Amino acid sequence: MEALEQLIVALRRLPTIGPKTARRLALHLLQRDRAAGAELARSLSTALDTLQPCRQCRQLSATELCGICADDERDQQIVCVVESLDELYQIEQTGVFNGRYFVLNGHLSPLDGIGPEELGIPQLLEQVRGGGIRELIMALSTQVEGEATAQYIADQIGPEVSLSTLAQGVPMGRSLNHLDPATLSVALSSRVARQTDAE
Amino acid sequence: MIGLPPVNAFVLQRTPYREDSWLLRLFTSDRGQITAHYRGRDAVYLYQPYHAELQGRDDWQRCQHLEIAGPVLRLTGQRAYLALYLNELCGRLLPRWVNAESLFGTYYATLKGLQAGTPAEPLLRYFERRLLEQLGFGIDFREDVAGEPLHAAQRYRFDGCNRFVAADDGELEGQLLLALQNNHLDQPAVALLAKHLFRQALSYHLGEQSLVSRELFRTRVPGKGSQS
Ligand SMILES: [Zn+2]
Repeated sequence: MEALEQLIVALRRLPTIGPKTARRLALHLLQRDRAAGAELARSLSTALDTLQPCRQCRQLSATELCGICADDERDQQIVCVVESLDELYQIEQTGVFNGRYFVLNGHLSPLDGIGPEELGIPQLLEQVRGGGIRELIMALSTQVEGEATAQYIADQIGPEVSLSTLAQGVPMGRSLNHLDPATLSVALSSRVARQTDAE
Repeated sequence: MIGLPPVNAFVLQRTPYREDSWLLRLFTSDRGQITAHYRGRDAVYLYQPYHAELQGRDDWQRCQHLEIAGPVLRLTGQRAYLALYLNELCGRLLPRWVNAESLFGTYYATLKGLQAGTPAEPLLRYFERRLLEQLGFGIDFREDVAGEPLHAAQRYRFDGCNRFVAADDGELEGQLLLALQNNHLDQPAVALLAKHLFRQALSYHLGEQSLVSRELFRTRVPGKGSQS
């Protein structure tokens, strides 16, 4: 049963999977639905073989440069820095951004041992110093770790690159009584003057 | 098990756990650092004063309820690094199951000071000094290793942990040590000495693994210097 134990150990390395869930998943794949197990093994192995981080932006790609980085129609000098692929996909869905990305795969978190190196920040800075970037947009988490990450990047680059951060506040279509106090306080302190037609 | 009063707590670190909960590392005023399981996937904030209702075994605490106990502290710009530095220090060094009421107060006051824009260096040095005391290794400014009171005219060496050794070729001036004892951190020479001493003393407890947040204080662009 060594193979079973090995599989359980491997599943437990996934985020949010505890020992009980790992055992249940393993038995499911081996007994209840072996076809799903085989399919999972095949597709995982193919994905691992064919996808790797894009040399430039670190998003997953089947080619050395991903489709976005290789796209001449996009402005390669405007870079949106995101914490994960999820945000990249979400921004892509809006269809309003025509630059490229840099994926950190996380944010600064000293207690988890995650510093600038783990986030590929030296790689990003190298691209900035190479002169290929004129604007960086920080689309990072609004919590302290995201703020620290954006600040760290800002501290490492000179004035030749323009820097911006996404606006924070009340999400569209949400009523105020569903907001937590932290969001509400940021929305209040970054309030904007109303445009009037009077003048 | 019922009716336990909530404790004052800050979250030092939160890790998603299973599909529906968090594993929280908490800094509590009355039991030091503890790890607690908190069911619920609503956002949990660092630097947010909470009242936490805790129960369960010593090694597996459940946080039944996490109630906001004051405004969240907004730490922006380089103050965000400093805040992460505080949490890394506490997470690495604060013992479990000890009364830490005094240090908890200092932590809260330090965050408030950072938020208010108070000069950061003296705040951090004061916190480091109190943390060393919490560990039971407060730096002894009253007497040297031989039991003699520190003299302004004498030179000293630091033992790397918490005591001074009188030595004519020592790199530390007694006069500055006495000024540091009285927290005269507004004097540049004293502030520099404090930084140097406390860093050594903290390294003694941190061991081989250095602090990730120290890395953040190094900047490469001139004119954008940060502090630690
Ligand atoms: Zn790419």
